[in-house]
Amino acid sequence: MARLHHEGKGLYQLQTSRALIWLGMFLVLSVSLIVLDQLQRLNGAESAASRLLVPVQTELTQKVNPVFDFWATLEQIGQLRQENTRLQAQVQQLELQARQGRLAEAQNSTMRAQLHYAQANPQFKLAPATIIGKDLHGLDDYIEIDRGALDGLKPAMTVISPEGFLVGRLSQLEGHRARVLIITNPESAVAATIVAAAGTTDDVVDGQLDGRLSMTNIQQNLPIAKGDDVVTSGLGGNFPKGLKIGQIAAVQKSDVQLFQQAEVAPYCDFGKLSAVEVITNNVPID
Amino acid sequence: MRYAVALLVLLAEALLQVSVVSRITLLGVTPQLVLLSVISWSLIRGPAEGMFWGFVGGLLFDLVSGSPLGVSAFAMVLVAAICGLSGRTLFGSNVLFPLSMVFLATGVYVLLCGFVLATLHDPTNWAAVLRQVLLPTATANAVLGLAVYPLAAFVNNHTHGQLRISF
Repeated sequence: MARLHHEGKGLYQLQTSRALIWLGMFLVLSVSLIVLDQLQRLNGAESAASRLLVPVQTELTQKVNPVFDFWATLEQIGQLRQENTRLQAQVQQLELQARQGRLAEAQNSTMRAQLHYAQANPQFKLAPATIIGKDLHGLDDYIEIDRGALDGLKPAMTVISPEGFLVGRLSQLEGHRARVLIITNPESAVAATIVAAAGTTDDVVDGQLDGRLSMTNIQQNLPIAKGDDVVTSGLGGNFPKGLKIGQIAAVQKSDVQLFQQAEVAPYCDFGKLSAVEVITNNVPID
Repeated sequence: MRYAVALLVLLAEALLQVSVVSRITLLGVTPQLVLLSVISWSLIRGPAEGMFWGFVGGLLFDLVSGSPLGVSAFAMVLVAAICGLSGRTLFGSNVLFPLSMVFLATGVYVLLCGFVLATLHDPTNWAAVLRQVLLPTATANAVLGLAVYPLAAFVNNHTHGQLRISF
């Protein structure tokens, strides 16, 4: 047993000694390679190896790229979610700014139109007002403005759009609030003149339940056509003369009737109207 | 033929190491496949085979990674010798022994590579190497050794020593 143990120990020592010798040889070989590499003596071999290995590496990298891209996306989900929330908030902020910008642009446009009309019509004393309420689809078409009796307004004063188109007249006034009876209201009747190619004729523009305007007593002897202008005639003193109301949209003429009838398309788009002007120096005579 | 297969396995590991595994981080560092295989094989089969495959594996890794030729081979031969001699003396003494050896051998490998590269090029910030490379890499390799070492043992059992290299 002791002999066996002694022989085993001897074998172990022998193997260790040989291993150390081989270790020395491998180390010398490695160091030689390092030195030769530093002296650029192995460039040829390295280039040959690169020509073989680089295509394999490239192919391998391209094959696994989608996997890593997918994994990277998964890792970024939390970050993407946060970024999404941040961007949504940013989008809302920008949308708000854009809305404010559009509103300011619209107000600016309205004010430019008001200024332009006021400069072109110095005979009118104008009080600008903002529309604060509308009902354009009921039986009683009206709009409400933010000026009233305490602002110097009086009943029946004429109301026009910033461009100068006839809107209606004041009907009910409170301190800083007033209701405007618009010309499409069935209760509205405006003395008007049709400016046709062959001449002019007077009639009344009536509001209709469906929000349209009509003229029912146009003289037969004046040929009128679609597109002819309709303006206020000033008769009766309710409205100043020459305010634009609309255009003839359709004409009904019959030999058996005494008068022509016409449908008038108003110039003013009441749905989009946001501001008006009240003519304060043309108070109707009761 | 069997040596060619072993060579191809090491080459594949080196290619995977550079192209695929280098993009996977464990504890902030990349596990070293070739080094792990060399360490495991050395622990199981002794210094002779360990040094041989360490030299071959290191050389292949240098070729694939673009490192100065011989640096990894030099470090892996030394690491394989240490593991082979220790494994033959202490193998089987404790189940944690192989993992401890993977940890220590990785540390030695990083130090040796750092020493050689510092000799060839610029001075190395050893504190940073220790903190940012050596400890994390050794830990990552030890963790991965839980899979690689049993795999090497499995291959050894099924080849029945047919890959034997003796001096």
